[in-house]
Formats: sequence, structure tokens, C-alpha cells
Amino acid sequence: MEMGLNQVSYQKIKDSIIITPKESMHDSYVQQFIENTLNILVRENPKIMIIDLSHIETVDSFMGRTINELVKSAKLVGVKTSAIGIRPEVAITLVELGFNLLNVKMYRTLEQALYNQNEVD
Amino acid sequence: MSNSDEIRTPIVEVWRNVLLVSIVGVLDTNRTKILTERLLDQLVEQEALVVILDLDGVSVMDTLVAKHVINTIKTIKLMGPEVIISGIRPDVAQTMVSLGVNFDVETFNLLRRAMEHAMNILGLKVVSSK
Repeated sequence: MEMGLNQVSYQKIKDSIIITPKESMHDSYVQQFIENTLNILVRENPKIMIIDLSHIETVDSFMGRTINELVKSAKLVGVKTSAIGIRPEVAITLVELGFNLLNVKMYRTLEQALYNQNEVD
Repeated sequence: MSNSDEIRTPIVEVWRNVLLVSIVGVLDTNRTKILTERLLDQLVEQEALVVILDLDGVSVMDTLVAKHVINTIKTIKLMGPEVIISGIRPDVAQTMVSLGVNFDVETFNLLRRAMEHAMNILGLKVVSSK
């Protein structure tokens, strides 16, 4: 299911929503992205939001802050966050920029994320 | 450059989905970068669920080395696997405490204890076959 500007697609599987942001998200779309995602979360009421990072090739501190913002907002509406498919270069950059994403459970595959649903704190 | 580094820092799959990384010698910024890149590639390829960082060969633990180790741990965690540290020697442990260094992961002196813990994480048990 596509969402507005073709920047993000989402899928519902059981109690989870999988959000797949595509790489080329410009700054001005980001607020829209967060807003759209939160609307989806409130409408579908999943227990977990799984962010698929496999299309993200680069990140900067803005993207890092955006992810943090999204995770915190999701928590406020009762949704925990996992992420899948982060690329090595992106992981390295995030640590260099000081983002730990401690409140996000990270997995390599969707299968792992769905299987470990109850472990997300 | 890369050959000698591979020799000094072997990355071995000691069990299915368990990687053992033995760091030997001085861990500087450049070596950390090379090690991290190699490790993350291996991690993905081996589908690692646990990474054991063995520090027994690290003779010097100061705030800079600690920072490199901490960053490496954080990066591995972002990729998914749990991280365990083994090979913390008594003098290194003391230095870490006095420097206020905290790795924030389970640490063990003995590698086999670290392996046991890795098994625990994977939900595995070693039982006698007799």
C-alpha cells in the first residue's frame, strides 16, 4: 500500500505494521512522513511498528533525529518499534553521529522481527 | 595492509550464528575502522545472532581504546546481534573501573563462559550424550 508521495509504503501483518521508507526522502517530506505514519498507527493499532531500513543507503543527523522522533511518537500512541535490514554503512554512520537507537530492537530479517515480537520492550 | 590485519584480528564462526572476534594488539582509529567494516560484512554473511569480542590480546586499555571498543559494540548491536565480551583480564578490569568505562554488555574472563552465555542466548544447551 503506497502512501501519498510514493516515499513510503506500509503493510500490516498480524499485530505489526511494516513501514518501508524509500531512500530519496527530502527534508520537507519528512514531517509529512511522520504525520502519515502516526495516522496509520492510530488507525490500524498494531502492537509493533517494524521499520524496514533496507532501502536506506545513507543517513545524516537529520534522518537520525527523525527516526528517534518517530520512535518516541509511536511509543506515545502505544506502539513499540523494531527495525530490520539496516546496512553496515548506515550502522557505522549512525554510531559516529551518536545515535544508538536503544529503544529500537534491531533485526536482520523480517522473519526474526515477527518471530521475536514479544521480546520488544 | 588488509592481510596482516586479518591475521591480527581473526573473525571465526565458532557456532552457527555465533562469531568470535579476537582482537590482538593496539586498537587505533584506523584498525577499528577496518575491523568494523570486515566484521559487519561477516556478520551479515554468517547471519550472526551473537558476536563474542575477545579482548585477551588487548594489552593496553585506556580511554581511547575503550572508546573504540564501545563504538564497535554499538555498531554491532545496531546490526542486530547480541554482543558478549571475553578475555577481560584483572588488570584491564581494574583500569576500566578506575576510568569509569562501561561496556554495557555481558563480560567474561573465560572464553568458554562467553560461549555458554552465547548458547543461552540462542536457547541451546550442551548435554552429555552418555
